[in-house]
Formats: sequence, structure tokens, C-alpha cells
Amino acid sequence: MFGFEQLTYKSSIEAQLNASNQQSYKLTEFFSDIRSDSRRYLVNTHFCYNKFRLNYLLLFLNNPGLLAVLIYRFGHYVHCKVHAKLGLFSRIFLGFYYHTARYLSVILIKVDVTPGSIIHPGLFLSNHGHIIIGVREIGRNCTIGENVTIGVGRKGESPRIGENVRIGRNSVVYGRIEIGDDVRIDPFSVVGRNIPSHRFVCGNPCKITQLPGVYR
Amino acid sequence: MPLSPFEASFRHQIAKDLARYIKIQSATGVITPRQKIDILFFGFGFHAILVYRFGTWIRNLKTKLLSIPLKCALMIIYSVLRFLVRILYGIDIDQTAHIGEGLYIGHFGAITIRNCCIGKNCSIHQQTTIMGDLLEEEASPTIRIGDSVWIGAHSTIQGQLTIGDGAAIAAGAVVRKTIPPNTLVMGNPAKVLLRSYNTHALL
Repeated sequence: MFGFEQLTYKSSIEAQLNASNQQSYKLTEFFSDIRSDSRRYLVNTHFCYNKFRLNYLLLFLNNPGLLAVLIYRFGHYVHCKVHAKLGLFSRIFLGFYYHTARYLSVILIKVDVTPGSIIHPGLFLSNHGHIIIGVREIGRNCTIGENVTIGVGRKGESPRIGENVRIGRNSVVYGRIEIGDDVRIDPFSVVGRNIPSHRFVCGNPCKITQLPGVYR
Repeated sequence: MPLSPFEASFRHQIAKDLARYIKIQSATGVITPRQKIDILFFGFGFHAILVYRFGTWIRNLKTKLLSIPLKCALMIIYSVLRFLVRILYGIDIDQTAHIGEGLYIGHFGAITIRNCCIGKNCSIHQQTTIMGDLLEEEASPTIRIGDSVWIGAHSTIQGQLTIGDGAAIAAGAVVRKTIPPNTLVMGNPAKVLLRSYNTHALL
């Protein structure tokens, strides 16, 4: 009922995440995902938008969250490469670059996303700082606030989140749960059970209140 | 209840902590070199625990008159390391906390542990605060946490209380009262959800 059944799982978190991701992730996909992420940042931060290409660089410098998303996408690319067993070169060198980047992202931006998790394009971290994400899947165009933990309640149980979900700051989403599309999770809420789409969630432990229309 | 957590030596405590990390990576206890690298470089909690154990080792050194400068140098090294851990990872374990062997801290970020006594084989997650009240009459810590307690993310434990052996505190719980052993507690304010709960699967 609450995701706290007395079960024993032998497999660890990373092993379960690895087992779910045996698909390929091409370099073109990586660049298209980054482009859609940066477009999301352009819209949300009202950054000046014109054909001048240097603005994209300024966007990366001004929004550390976007830099963290870039590091995650690179990590996911490396993760899929390593599991495809394409060669020793990619394993060692790409892995070395990714681990240094992840370490820098942890100590400077304070964002840690496990490379095994699948995050679809259009992720928007509204503010950097103490964000820890380890999920099965996150849909398109999600926004995540600061001090948010999305991860495992027990060993190897991680959530799956739909499209257009907003997660407020200081909230926790844990356990083997499924959250639908267009859900809004309020700040300071703790979510540990399944939530259907088009809902408004708040409180600790969480309560569901239905919305009249589609929330964007 | 842990009354004297300093019975074991420094090296023994570190070995027990590392064993916890290895057990969580793989249930069989055998890990690949890649996982070993993961623990040593990305076990941010393990770095913090190492620095804390180093501090306790320095504090319990039996000093003679000649070795006082050496102890001072070690204290300077310890304070620099603790500053770095606090700045880089946001993990602040004070020397007023007495922690038994086999501690596991999963992630980095906003962990403060002060004025408490924690037992063996506990696991603490990110964004938790464990702060006992300061009493000037008693020098002993006001929070006592038993063996094999699982403390979830974003939870706060404050005041004067004891938490029994094998209790599990769910994510986001705010605990201000005593908790009996083998219970599951959740919510703000914390309420008992299940009696006779076993944390063996969580740890």
C-alpha cells in the first residue's frame, strides 16, 4: 500500500537500472536532446533570443542547471556505449572524462543524476543545488526545483514519471511508483504512491486533489 | 543502546564502514573494479566518515608532553579536511556526535549530525538533520539512536529523545518524540505506521 512491503531484493540499485537500459543512444540524439533542453531554458528564463549563436554559450554559463543536464546526457551516452561493449578506448577515455565532469558537477553545481536513468528531452532544473535523481524514466518537458530527491525508497525500486510534471522544491519522490502526465507536486511534499494523470499533490504524507482542467 | 562506541579501534571501524558500502553495491560481497572506483571516488559519504573517524582518533590519542606539537599539527590537518568536506559535499558531522561502526551515508548534501549517540550499522540519507538540544548540566548527548536504524532522506530529528533498535524513519519525517524499537514512522509530525517492522531489507 505504501511501498513498504516486506520483500527482499538481492539486486542493487545500479544493477536494476543497468538491466532496464540496454538500448542504444546515438550522438545525434544527444545533440537534439541538448538543443531541446536549451530551448526550454530560453523560453523559461526569458533570455534574449536571436540568431546570434553566442547566446547559447551564454545560456550554458548563466544556467548551471543546464550544464548539469549536459553532463547527465554525456554520462548517459557513455553508459550506453560501455554497455554496448564497443571498445576499450571508449570505455576508458570517455569514462574518465565523464567521471571528472560528474565530480565537478557535484562539488560546484550540487546536482547528481545517475547515468542509467532515462530522461526524455526538455528537462528544466529551475535552480541548482542538492538535486539527486535516480529514476527509471522521466517524460518530456518536466521541471524540477531545488533540494529535490527523486530516487529509491528501497533497494532497486525507482519511480517512473510522465510528461509535463512539475516537482516543487524540497520534495521527495521515492519507491517503485508511477506518476502520470500533467501532475503538479507542491513544495515540501513527500510522494510515495502511484498518482494518476492531471492531479495536484501536496502534503507530507501526500494527498491528491483533482484539478479542474489540464495543468501546464 | 550504544554506551561506549569507542571500544573498537580506528582501523576496525573503517573496515566495517567499507564493508557496509560493499554490501550495498552487491549483496554477495564481491565487487568489480569499476564498483570499487565508484565507492572510492563517488562515495561522498565515505569521505566524510573517514574524516570524522580521523578526528575521533586524534581526540582519543594519549598525549605526552613532547607529542603535543604533533597532535596540534594533526588537528590542523583534520580541521582543513572537515572544512573541505563541509564546503564541497555539504556534510557536517561534528565531534559531539558519537557514531558506532558501520555507518552508511548514501549521497552528498545538507547533512548535519550533532549532539547525538548513534549505534552500529545505521544508514543516513541526504538532507537529514540530527541535532540534540544542548544541556549545560549534562555533557552527554541528548539524542540516542539504536543499532541498525534506517533514516530516510529529508528527515529531521530534534530535541531530547531515544530511537529504538531497528526502527525505520521514512523520507520527510519530522521526529520530536521517542520511538519504540522495530517501528516504521512517517509524516510531519511523525506517526507510527507499522509495529514490528524489520529494517533488514533496507540496510
